[in-house]
Amino acid sequence: MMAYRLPFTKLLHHPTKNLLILVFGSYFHALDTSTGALISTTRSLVSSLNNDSTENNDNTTVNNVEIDNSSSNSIHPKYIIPSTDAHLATIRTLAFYDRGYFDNSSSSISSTLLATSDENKILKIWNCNEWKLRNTRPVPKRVVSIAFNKDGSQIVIADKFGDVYSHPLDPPEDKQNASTLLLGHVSMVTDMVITPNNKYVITCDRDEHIRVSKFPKGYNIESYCLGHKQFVSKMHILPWANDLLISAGGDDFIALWDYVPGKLLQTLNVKEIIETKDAHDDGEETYIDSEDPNSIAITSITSSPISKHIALTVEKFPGIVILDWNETERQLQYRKTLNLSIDPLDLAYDINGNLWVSNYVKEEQSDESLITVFKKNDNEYEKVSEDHPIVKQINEYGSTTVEKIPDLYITSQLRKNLVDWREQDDDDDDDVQSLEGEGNKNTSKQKKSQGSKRNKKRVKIE
Amino acid sequence: MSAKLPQKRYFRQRAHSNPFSDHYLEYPLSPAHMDWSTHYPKFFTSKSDNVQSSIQKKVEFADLGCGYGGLLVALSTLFPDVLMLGMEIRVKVEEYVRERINALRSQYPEQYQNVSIIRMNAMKFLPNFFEKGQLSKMFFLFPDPHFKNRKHKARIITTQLLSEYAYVLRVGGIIYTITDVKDLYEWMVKHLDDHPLFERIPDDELERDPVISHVRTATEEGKKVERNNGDKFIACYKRIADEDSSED
Repeated sequence: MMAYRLPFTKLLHHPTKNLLILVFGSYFHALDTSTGALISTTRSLVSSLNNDSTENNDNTTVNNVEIDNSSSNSIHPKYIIPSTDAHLATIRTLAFYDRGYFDNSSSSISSTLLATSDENKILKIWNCNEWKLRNTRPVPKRVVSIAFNKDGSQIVIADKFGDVYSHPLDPPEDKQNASTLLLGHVSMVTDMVITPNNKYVITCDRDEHIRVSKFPKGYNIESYCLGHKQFVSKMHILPWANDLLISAGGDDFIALWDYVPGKLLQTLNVKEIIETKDAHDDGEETYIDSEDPNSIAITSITSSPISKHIALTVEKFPGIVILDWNETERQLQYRKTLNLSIDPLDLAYDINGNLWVSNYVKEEQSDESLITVFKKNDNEYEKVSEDHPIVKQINEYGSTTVEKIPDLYITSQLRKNLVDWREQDDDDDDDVQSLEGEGNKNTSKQKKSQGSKRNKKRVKIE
Repeated sequence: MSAKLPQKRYFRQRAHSNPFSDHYLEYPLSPAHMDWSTHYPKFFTSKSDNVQSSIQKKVEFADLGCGYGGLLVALSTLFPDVLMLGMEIRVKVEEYVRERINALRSQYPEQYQNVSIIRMNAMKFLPNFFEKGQLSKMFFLFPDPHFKNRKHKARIITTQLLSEYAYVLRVGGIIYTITDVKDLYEWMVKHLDDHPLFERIPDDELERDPVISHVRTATEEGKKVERNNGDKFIACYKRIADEDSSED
């Protein structure tokens, strides 16, 4: 039986430190982006090059102790998180707490925190200074997005059923559930951000809405940003213009909003960009959405405050779309497309403006690198050689092995179809006892909804 | 030719609809994209005109889950200059109300121009139709009680949805609720009482509101409850400004 490396499904870079989290299945690695060295991992396996080695003959101590780096194998992470602390199901979403994100924050929390949540509705908070699990708690519904408040005392989670709750950073001893309902959508919430001034929580959903609510008084809606025609799945506040929000999802375009008044400032057609790019190549339409040959799904948005570049990934498109910020016009403009040989799954800028990309390495490409790094060179991008230590170390350590690479494109499944996602999930989510094995059930459901007929297109009223 | 009023028996449909499903619905991208001229032709000549006119009328009353439209018809002549919209998710019921309004407009050419109906899931798409603070009255008359515990989240009054209603309702605007189901009444009162942007209107003040008698009796549901000598529980709330907030 062949074994393949599971690609990194999510990348998250810390806003002020050389720290990149790479998620794969129920595990994550933490990587030092200045050296490419692994800092920590929840997967205590040795290099993926030794596929025959199993978890039982681990040669490293799994006790959350510092590993002696003078040993012969230099790719051991400094910290190995005990497997008893790790997630047991696929990690769905994660977020850093960094007080530097907020305007003049005076938090007492000086350590770097990471929150992760999985398919089994478990929320974990990690202390990234010593790589220790700070706490773990069950939550009632599957979490789709996580954010911290300004002083880090609250962790805000948006769940699959459209509700947003605030939890204390550490669960109180006496009762496990001390959460407060902030707001809710009658739709699946897909992403959430808290603004750097800590005044608003912005949520977007499968029904084209972006809602700007006061924070923490989420019952008081400030505005809606309306203009999407398809699901919205990603939002990003520009670090150099905190009043502006970029949003994207199932539409051909990304949108730029002045979010407090809910004013649409610009739309920029991404589909045209990647189609033009494709025509220059070999004309093969690799980015096509399986359900509708004419639609695209934008899967990630990120930006670098250094270059003021915005980078996008699109489902099934082997490239990264780079946009520029025009300061005078306060507008986005197309800069270039970085070509890749493999479809990207996610991307992140490090604090020096280098771009890290996770590759959707499939069975037939199993020799390819799991990540690609583009080094910032002035305002251009230079692809880092796969022999360079910055890329090499993570490839040598690998991820985890699977017999078959799963379908990791989940964004286009948000498109409307006749299957009622909410009713489907009812039985699971109402029944608190059925926590185990849900990940599997969910997979079969996703398949069902994928195969179902697409909804008749809504007619826009002009 | 005088148009005949439609007969309800041809428009019956089961009382429940799942508000979480993806229905085939037509809704505008945003309130600015909505063409109201087809709904209120006497008030809007065409969409291009209404964009230019800054004093253009806007819908002020919304009857959510308006059923067979009895309240709209009753209030139409009481507030002839106020635009009112009913929203109903059930296809046949919406068709009935549309035909009813058309027939009334034919029979009384100068009247019923200010009422209209749209097939809509009000629990999802209100902000697509109404701007912040556009509405002065919202009606929730004899809503689906969704009796089962696990269906409670499908009720039209919930903590989460009240925030949306507060968004489209101006400060001082009123939410009217009535039901013959005591359990639902208590549910609605609890959720409205708990919401920081709503304040209950005392009964004596309510009795001076000319709308209240119609809330009790104008709807088909209300008449049915009356025939069966059922109870009617009313609770009305005023939209208030948020404390220590600069709004409005």
